[in-house]
Amino acid sequence: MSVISLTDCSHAVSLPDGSSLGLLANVSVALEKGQSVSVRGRSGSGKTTLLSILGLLLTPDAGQVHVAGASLDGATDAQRTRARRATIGFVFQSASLVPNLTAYENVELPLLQGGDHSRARRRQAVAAAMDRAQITHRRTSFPRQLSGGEQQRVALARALVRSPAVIIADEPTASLDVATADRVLALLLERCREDGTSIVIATHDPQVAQHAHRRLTLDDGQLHDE
Amino acid sequence: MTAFLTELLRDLTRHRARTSLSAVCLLLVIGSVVAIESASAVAREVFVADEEQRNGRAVTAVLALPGAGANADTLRRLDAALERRVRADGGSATIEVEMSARAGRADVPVGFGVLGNVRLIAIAGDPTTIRRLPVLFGRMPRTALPPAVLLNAAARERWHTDRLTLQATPGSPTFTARVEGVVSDGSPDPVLWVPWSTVAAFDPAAFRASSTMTVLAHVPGASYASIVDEMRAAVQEVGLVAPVASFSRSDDVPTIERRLRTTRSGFLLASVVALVIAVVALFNINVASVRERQRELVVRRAFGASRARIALLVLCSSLLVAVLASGAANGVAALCVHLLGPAILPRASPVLAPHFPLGAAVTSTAVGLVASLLSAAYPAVLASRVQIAGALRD
Repeated sequence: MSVISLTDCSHAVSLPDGSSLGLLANVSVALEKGQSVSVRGRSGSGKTTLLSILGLLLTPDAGQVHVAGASLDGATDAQRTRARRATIGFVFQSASLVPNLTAYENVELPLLQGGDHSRARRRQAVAAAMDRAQITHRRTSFPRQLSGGEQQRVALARALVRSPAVIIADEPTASLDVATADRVLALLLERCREDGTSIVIATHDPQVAQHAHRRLTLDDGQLHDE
Repeated sequence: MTAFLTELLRDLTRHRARTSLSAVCLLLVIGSVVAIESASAVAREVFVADEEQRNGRAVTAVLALPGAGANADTLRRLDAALERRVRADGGSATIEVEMSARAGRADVPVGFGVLGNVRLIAIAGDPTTIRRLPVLFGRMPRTALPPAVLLNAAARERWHTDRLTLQATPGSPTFTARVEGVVSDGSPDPVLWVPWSTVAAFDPAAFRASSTMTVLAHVPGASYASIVDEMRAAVQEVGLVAPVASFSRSDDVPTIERRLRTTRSGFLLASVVALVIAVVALFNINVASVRERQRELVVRRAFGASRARIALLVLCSSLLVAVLASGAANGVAALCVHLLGPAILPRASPVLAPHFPLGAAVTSTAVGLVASLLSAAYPAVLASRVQIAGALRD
């Protein structure tokens, strides 16, 4: 059973002149447990839209989304929120850390958004996630005190802290130097191998894409295997 | 629950500028409401105290018995009747017979002609229980002998002595009375209160049929009509006639309350204005804070925060600041009342030191909570409706 699957999903956005621009046209894709998938495409091709639908942040205009075999057709915002909380972690292009919180508190953030997590369990989960992202030594630092690579590792720990089934990463290495990008990518793929976490990475970089089990290209609203 | 509290406390401590501004704003409005309410209460107290000092505590009934045969025996029997009917029930009553007396310092020989005219009130009962007369020292004499006298502040100022020579009526024997106490009655003229039995002992003819007996009674919490009933029964008991029309209310506190109503409305309006200003200021702070935190809120939503949780976080955060600010404002108010009240009031003032305005504290806390709720309601909705569709786009 797929962790997340899209079936014949289409989505368009409205332009300022009143016309609409189709970004996805009858796209179908299934993400299996422990599978890493890269999505490439030129700017504006709809990669982020595809990831947003996979991440349950956006409802497609048409088509079906299934999470662990359950359809989300007609699901309320609260149901989609619960499904997202239980299943998905995000790594954004920029780390998007909360500036007023320390690295530890940023990693803890997803555990505070619902669910039954005691303080001790939270502490344990945060410590484990920070350890896996190799950022424990900066736990008391605020984002402004961290380098770009460190911020992205904190963001990675935040995505991992709930041990999600899927990590959606939108160009996670785009703003990093090559060495740091390799390190972040290695950490992501390690989770995929060791924990069976499924990963979807949107990227422009063929070097990043080549590490994925499955490489997809988005062109004219259609997904193709490379 | 603990997770939510953790978030709430973090939200307050990590957004210090917003928390401080909101707290200062609430502190000002809550402090203003407490101050306005206190000022209103103090203003009322000043006017009421003056009235109660001059004419009797609210509610005091007065009965004038002109030519009622104010002899010592009648006075004694009426005093005994008032003791049973009024004082025994926790009330106060006095019988006053005013005399044109003469008085002077006891250490100056009478032959030197230094006795001056003075208003002397031969009294049964304690005048401080009927009128609000701050006792500067001592108390009302309680026995006929040895002779003792209660002075007002003007008399004390005039003679500066602890013994006075008194002559109750012209041509009567003089006697020396010890100054037992001094009260402040607000009068610029000297007044002496002497127990009627003391006057009767030295001048049996002082109480004549032509004297006017004034009976005053006050029972805390009782109505005017019930006080009059008891007084009339006491008067009838000694064989005197007192038609209902001869009773009147001594104090005029209700008129003062009516006149102060406009002032109190002004104070209330000022409180409402303070509330409106606070709501507008807090609203701006909250909206600006939510707009500044858009990205943070989107990230929270992406990681599973429900709309309700986000809204609740904004609302509770605002409420918690209001609760803390209320506590601080009321603490400062209590401290001010405790320290400043007694310090600024002169000792001779009948105005009571203001108590901590508990009612105002409750009102201002409620006002603070309402202000924080009103000002956070729309920002909470705004925060809960952040668009997460674009979460992956910075």
